[in-house]
Amino acid sequence: MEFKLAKDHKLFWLKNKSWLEVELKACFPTSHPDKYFSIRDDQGQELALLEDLNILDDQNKQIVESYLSFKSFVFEVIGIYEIEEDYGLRHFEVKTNKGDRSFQMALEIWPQVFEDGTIVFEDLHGEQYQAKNLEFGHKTLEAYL
Amino acid sequence: MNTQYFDRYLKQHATLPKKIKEVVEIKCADRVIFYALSDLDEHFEKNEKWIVVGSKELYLFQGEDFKVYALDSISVRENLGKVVNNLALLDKSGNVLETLWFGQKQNILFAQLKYLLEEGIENINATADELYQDGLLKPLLKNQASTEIKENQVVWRLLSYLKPYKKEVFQGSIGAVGLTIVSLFPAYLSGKVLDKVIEPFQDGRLDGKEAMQIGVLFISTLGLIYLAKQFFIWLRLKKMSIMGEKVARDLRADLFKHIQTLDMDFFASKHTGTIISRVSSDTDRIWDFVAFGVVEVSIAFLTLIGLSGVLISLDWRLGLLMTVPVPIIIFAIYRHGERMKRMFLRCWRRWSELTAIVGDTVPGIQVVKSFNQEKKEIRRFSNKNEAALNEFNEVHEAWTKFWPSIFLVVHGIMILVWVMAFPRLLSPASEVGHISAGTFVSFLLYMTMFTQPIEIIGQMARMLNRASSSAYRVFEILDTKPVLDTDESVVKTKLKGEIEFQNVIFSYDGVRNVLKGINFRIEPGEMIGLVGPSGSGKSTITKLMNRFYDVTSGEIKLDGMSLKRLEIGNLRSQIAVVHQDPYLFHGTILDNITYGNDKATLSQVIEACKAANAHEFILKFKEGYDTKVGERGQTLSGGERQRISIARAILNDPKILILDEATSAVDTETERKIQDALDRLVEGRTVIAIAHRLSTLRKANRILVVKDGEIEEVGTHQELMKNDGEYKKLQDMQTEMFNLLHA
Repeated sequence: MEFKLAKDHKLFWLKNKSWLEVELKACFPTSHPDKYFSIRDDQGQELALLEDLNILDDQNKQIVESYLSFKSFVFEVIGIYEIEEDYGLRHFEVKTNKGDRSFQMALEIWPQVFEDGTIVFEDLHGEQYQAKNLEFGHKTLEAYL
Repeated sequence: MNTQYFDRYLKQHATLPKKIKEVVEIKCADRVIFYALSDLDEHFEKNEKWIVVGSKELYLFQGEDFKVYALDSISVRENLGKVVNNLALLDKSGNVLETLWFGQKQNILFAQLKYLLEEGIENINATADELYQDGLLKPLLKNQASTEIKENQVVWRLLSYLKPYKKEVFQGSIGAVGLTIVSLFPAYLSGKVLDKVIEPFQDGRLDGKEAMQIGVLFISTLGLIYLAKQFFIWLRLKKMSIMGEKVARDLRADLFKHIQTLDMDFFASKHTGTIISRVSSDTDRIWDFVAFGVVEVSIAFLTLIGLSGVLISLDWRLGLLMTVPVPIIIFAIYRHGERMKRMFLRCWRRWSELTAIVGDTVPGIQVVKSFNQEKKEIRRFSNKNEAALNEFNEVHEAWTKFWPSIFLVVHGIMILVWVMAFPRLLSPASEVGHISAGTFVSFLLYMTMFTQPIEIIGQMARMLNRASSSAYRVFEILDTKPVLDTDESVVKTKLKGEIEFQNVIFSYDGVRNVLKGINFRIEPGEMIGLVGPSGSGKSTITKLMNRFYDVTSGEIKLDGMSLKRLEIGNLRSQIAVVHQDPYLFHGTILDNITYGNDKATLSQVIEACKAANAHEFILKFKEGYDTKVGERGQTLSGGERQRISIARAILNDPKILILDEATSAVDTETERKIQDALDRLVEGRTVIAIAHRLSTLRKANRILVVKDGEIEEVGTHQELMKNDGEYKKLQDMQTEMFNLLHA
């Protein structure tokens, strides 16, 4: 399988000697993030199933990984400065791997804690944040888990 | 415009920076039609790149630099990730000129930007600032209040609900003040009896008979005081709790009444659960605060002030020793309350998880049993049950440590009081600083009264927070105004059923038009079929007729009169909608059929049900028409619910009937019965039938084929089949599918 990546991270797949614009949809984005990707055309039709990234040669694997690092990117929370409850929402001030950010969650939506200890926050706009190893702010967060 | 959302939450400008606006409007002599912010760079770090759409050009501003592209020279390509997205600007050969990176917050604006760049900027019905602010604030406003009430205003407004109950407030306050005052007497009298009766009697300064008389008087007074105390407690509790219930009832009534007046937009933006909790638990919390919070806190303060005054007046040195640490203790209790609040939050979470399993498993019990998964469910429940137990244990661990510590401090102070007082008790009465045994006993009794008000004041902040946030949520709904535009001269009229759409354009978000200039006219009694792919705008047409929304531009007329001139209740009572999955309320079949026409006679009900092919199956139930239907009518099959809704529509005798996929979810036999019922229902009415199964529309006088918000074709089934257009394509597909299934 041969892929190429455009400047805007659009992925193209070489099929029958022509480059097709495709999307790679992870079938198990949380439980098995590096296995089973559906290769789909711009109409959302499945063209092929990529079972494992390891079947690709190094160059193509790198391209696909680079594409996936954009597609599946979430902000990594390093520390929590403040969590405050306002009317109807919970406001978070955090430090992430991409600088300080703030986000809001609906009061009835809570951070999800996975078995490996990863905490996932989804804000009102659908932005995702995840915390694995907090440097600070454990105590502040504790009440909301 | 309230900029606090931008400053506090979004952390970006509330409007296009002035400098950029000036460049576009003055330097480039253009106007700002739309703008958005690219808030991330290619490394997904914070960025500020503004994109401005002018009348013919697109401007990109980054810091001091800006670039200009002619709108007709570029196209766009969207690439959406889980969190980070981009919109690429492409030249005519498809080369990427710019990649604009943005997070989810900007998503709506970039979707609008893409739409504008692809479809053109002609149909924008809002200003650039409105579109920008609306696009960014929508998700926030869905959860946050749209009102701007300050916390203290909320409390005052809440207290204003007490106005009609001045008498109860007065009586309750008399109870509270009376209780505080009489509570102070026993300790005072006890000290006096000790000093003036017991001690003189023991010293031989007072004879036994006189001492006994005073003793009887003292005990009787004490008895009366306790009686008075119980009376004041009864007065306060009764008056305030009843009044609290009345206030909560008034709030619930106002709230529910107001909810009925709100537009569909409101219900689309709020979760059903949120609205339910505002009517139920929020009003309940307010009751709690009004009935007990206000009074308890007032009593606590009154008691503390009274006690401090009495203690200091009895003995200023011991009094100060007792009262000075009080603020520190209150603060400690407040901090403990805050900690407990966080802990209770966790408990509440674990509790919700536990109840969620029950809520999930019970409705799905058939699946659980058929897959033999009972043990797995029990295990799942046990794990959550254990987690809840652990959280509750932590709470108990915390409070059982805290309160003994606080009382240890209080008792420590009491020991200190003893230490200070003892030498003075033993000193001769003539010596300066001597304290009599009676005064000291009074002092001791007052000290024991000190802890309860301290505890109540410590909880005050939490109670106030809870009540004011609930009140805020309630007032938010009460302050939401219906947005439907109404002509001042609304009329009630009996419709004939003539419908006319004149160049109707409609957009849910102000940018993307769902309907793009719809024109048609339906004569009274005509049956019209609406067909087209999902999302083409068919249901939107029927929603506009019901005035769930107002048109963006153009006009809808009924009997030649603008829809806005018709009183909404009058309009809706003459339009009936039969849905694919009709909603039935809790109650009997009879209640559901007569919903909308409770004046119908029983024979009319039976007649309607016969016409709807519902009478026979209803009578198969043991309770006949009095059979209770479960939640959302779940005890009935889809076809049965459908026929009840048809009977309901027949009974309402509407002039206009909308059939929204009325027969698409049932088997062939049931479909035949429903179709028979519908054939009877449509007689003499104007009918708009939306259908995927085109065979059901053969009786339609005309069929409108809707595609992408426009009417693509109009004609009878035969005419459209000859046209070889969209309708024929749909019909051929369905025939092919039928043949495949029946091959």
